[in-house]
Amino acid sequence: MIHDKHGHAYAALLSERSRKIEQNYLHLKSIDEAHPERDASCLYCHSVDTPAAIRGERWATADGVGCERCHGAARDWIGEHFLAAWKHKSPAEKQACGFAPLQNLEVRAGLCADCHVGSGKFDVNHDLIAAGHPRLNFELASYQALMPPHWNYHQELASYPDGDAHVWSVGQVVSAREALKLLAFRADPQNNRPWPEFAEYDCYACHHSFELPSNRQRRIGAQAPGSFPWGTWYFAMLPQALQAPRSEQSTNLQAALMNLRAEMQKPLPNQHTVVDQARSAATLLNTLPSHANWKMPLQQRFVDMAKTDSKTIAEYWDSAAQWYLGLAAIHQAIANRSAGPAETDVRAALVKLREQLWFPPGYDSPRNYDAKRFETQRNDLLQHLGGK
Amino acid sequence: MSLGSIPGKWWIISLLGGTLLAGSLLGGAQAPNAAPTAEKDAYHTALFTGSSTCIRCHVIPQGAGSENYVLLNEYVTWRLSDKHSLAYLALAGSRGTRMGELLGQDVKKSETGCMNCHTLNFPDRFKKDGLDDALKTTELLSEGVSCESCHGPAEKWIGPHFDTTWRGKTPQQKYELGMYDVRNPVERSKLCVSCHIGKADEGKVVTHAMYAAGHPPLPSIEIATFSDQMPHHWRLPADVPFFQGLAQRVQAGTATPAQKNILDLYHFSDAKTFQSQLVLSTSLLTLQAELKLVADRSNFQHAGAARLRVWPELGMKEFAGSQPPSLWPQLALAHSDCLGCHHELRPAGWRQVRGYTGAPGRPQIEPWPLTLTARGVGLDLTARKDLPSKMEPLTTACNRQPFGAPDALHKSAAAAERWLDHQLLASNVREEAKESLAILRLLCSVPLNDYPNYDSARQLAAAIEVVYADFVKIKAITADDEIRKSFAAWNEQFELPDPGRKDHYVSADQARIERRKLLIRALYQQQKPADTKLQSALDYFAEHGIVESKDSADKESKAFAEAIEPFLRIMVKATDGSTLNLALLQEKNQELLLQLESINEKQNAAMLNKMRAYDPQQFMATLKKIADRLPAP
Repeated sequence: MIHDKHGHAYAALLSERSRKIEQNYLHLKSIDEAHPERDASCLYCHSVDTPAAIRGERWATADGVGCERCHGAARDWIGEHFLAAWKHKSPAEKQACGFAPLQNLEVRAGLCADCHVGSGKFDVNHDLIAAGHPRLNFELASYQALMPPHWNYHQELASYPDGDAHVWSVGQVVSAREALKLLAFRADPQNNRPWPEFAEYDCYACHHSFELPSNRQRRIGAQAPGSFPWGTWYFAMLPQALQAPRSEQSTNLQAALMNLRAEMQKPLPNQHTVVDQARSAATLLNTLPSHANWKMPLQQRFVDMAKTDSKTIAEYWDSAAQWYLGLAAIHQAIANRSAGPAETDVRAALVKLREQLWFPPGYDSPRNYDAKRFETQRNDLLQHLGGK
Repeated sequence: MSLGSIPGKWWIISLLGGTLLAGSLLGGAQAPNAAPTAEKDAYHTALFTGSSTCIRCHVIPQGAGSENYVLLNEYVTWRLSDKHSLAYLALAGSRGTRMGELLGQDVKKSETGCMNCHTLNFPDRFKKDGLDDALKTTELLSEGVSCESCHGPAEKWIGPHFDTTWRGKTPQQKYELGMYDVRNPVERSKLCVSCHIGKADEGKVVTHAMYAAGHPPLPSIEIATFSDQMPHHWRLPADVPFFQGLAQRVQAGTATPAQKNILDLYHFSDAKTFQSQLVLSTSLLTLQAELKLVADRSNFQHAGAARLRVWPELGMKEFAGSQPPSLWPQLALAHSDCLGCHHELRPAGWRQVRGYTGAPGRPQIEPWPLTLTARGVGLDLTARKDLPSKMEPLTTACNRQPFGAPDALHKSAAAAERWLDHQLLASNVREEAKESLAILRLLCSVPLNDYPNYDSARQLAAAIEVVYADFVKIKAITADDEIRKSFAAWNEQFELPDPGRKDHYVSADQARIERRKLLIRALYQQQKPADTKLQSALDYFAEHGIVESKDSADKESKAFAEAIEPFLRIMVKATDGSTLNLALLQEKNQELLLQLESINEKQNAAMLNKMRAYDPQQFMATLKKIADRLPAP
């Protein structure tokens, strides 16, 4: 409640910044008319979204993202969950009385994604971001690492086949699936949402100040100059997170994503086509084994990932950041496993890469990010790896 | 008789032959109708002769005698100091080549549309004079934005225009021979904005893809300031000795009716406020040009050859065969508020503090052309009241969906453009320009919750400085010290010239001096003068320049007078037919070309840095300060 930011989610709505966002979003004349703390679309993520009928007497919006937002409404389990017998119940039995099976990482990630990726109805789209709401860029492994654990996270990590790397893989797959579902919702004309939806595209492709010389004008891609790159966050590292990247399912998925990208990067993507393509890609993702039980040694995964085709990495801050987060997760998993001395040179190279990704103070965009410099730094890392 | 049949010095003959010869020229061969336009007047159909025709006279500056009308060294100024003469080289240079690679197009091909602004893109209307067809075409294309780009095709006026009666002809009579009236503030503004904002029916469109591939952002353009920033090859009307002489005669009562008539023809009595007249024209014409561009490109009815002119995007391989409605977001980006998206993100940035006119995050049309108009500059009282209701539908159309709803945008932009056209017809910039103080008050007004972006602020700053300079001059008062200080800071921040400076014809612009030195070096390489005196003359000009001097009498230095003749002689020889540009295009001169480019690049980069550092709140505070220090009405 005190350390975890989730506990302050409601309080955030009371701030002047939130009221300004609400004023801009709803185009209100005065900030005094703005009450995000009473707006259901804000409360869905900033508090516990509970139908009035099942609110208990001690239920309070002001709790923010409280216990039951993740663990499930407690009416039917509060009475028995502290009894000895509770421990012997199966997850399914617990779920039957409303207790969410959060020990299932995939379920947990889906729950996180509900707010942190978005779920259609309550969507942090470009309208809301332009009004002042921060963009969403969820990555499970780093989010969990940053969250003050109120459970034994280290013990839990040790139980996974690949520790942090496992969490990262699950996060990638679940986030991508939820992002696809969200896209299908946004694109569906029945939902009457803005289209094209800017939030689907790389923020910093447009949001950068002009500069000369410009790195952007050095690259020649498959895309027409000045068109919008799609899906640089959720889909940049997805292939690396899939358990069997060369399997037929995986190949199908990647082909589906490629088609979707081609459509999304057209000046005016066809909404119906996008709905169909996004839905079928999400379905394909569901058929893939998402809790990536990798057979490959972690060290090998690290090297493979570090060597990912440079074009898919450094070009955009988003993909560079996703690549870094993936590497960091695997590196952490290796460090947790090995009893030997830490690989200080590799770690140092990673730290330097991270520095390249920082936003300067006072900015919400990577003002100083330079794809060329990032690539140079990446070569340093590869050299360290080559030495082994 | 055609011009081609008069060998060598036909121009001297026509000097003697006067109107008789002009008459026979008018009856000359019909120009091939190459221009993609429905208009059949001489301006749209006559042939282009190329600057090699102009160079024969417009090289050596005249003395300051009372008959002195033009400077007569216009060619040299344009050739050595004016970036317009390098406009085609910009396409042929490394940036142009790189842009071509990114766009998948050869930017030197007529159909890409690039040449519509970067040179005279009318190969079918080039007067060949019996010369090799291909060579003459290459020559004229390589000239960039040259004499006839602005003054109009010379085929029919080249003869008459050095007749003594030419000065007494009306602008309309001159236009009928193909000459454009650049002395008229409204007409000049129209011409400048046709490239510097765009004109779809002439194929002058900078697409978003072009920008993304490396075309520099088109900065705001206030015509008085822009004209001032250009190396002048002309004088402000009040400074023309010929007019001054006539005015003295009128005052002394010795002028003939014909002489009086000439002064009236050029509205000499209003010459003092000429710069302010340009500001008023800017207000209406920049906005009108933008609205027209929006209206034309959101009108999906264009067919045939017009399609590629209006939507150069269709020439890109990615968009080949596409229907314009399916490209709408890309099309809309070309006229959208650049800085609306292209800015770094800040937590609680000023856009969020300011709020939005509708849904947040929906790009509006580029706002700077509205800046002056929104403050009522150039509009009468009724029009000022009406303007918001004329612009409001555009905002609504932009807010309706991301990138705006094209049909609604077309209707509203076309309606606003027509309305503005009526205001333009109704307005009398010469009369209005007399009210300097009233204009200044409008310009300094600070509407609530206004956060002008860098370009809008630059537009305001430029207009205020110009009108204030006129105000001080007319009232014969000393400029306020604090206001002057603010102007100095603005000039630095927005890269503006100082309109209050004494000599409009000399610029200490470092980039210009560097560029001039390089071009003179190129001349060296062409001519390799063995004469050491000539070499030292070139050194002298590289350092000091002659090109922006008012006239030779201004430079009392004996060295100047002695050196000028041989230099100009080699200029004429070396650059006849614009061969300098052709030479620069050669492999061996690549290095020079790159250096010329890097000067531009540095200038562009400097401005972009200033754009990044710009703070609207600080600007508004300065505006308020200036408003407070203006004298009471």
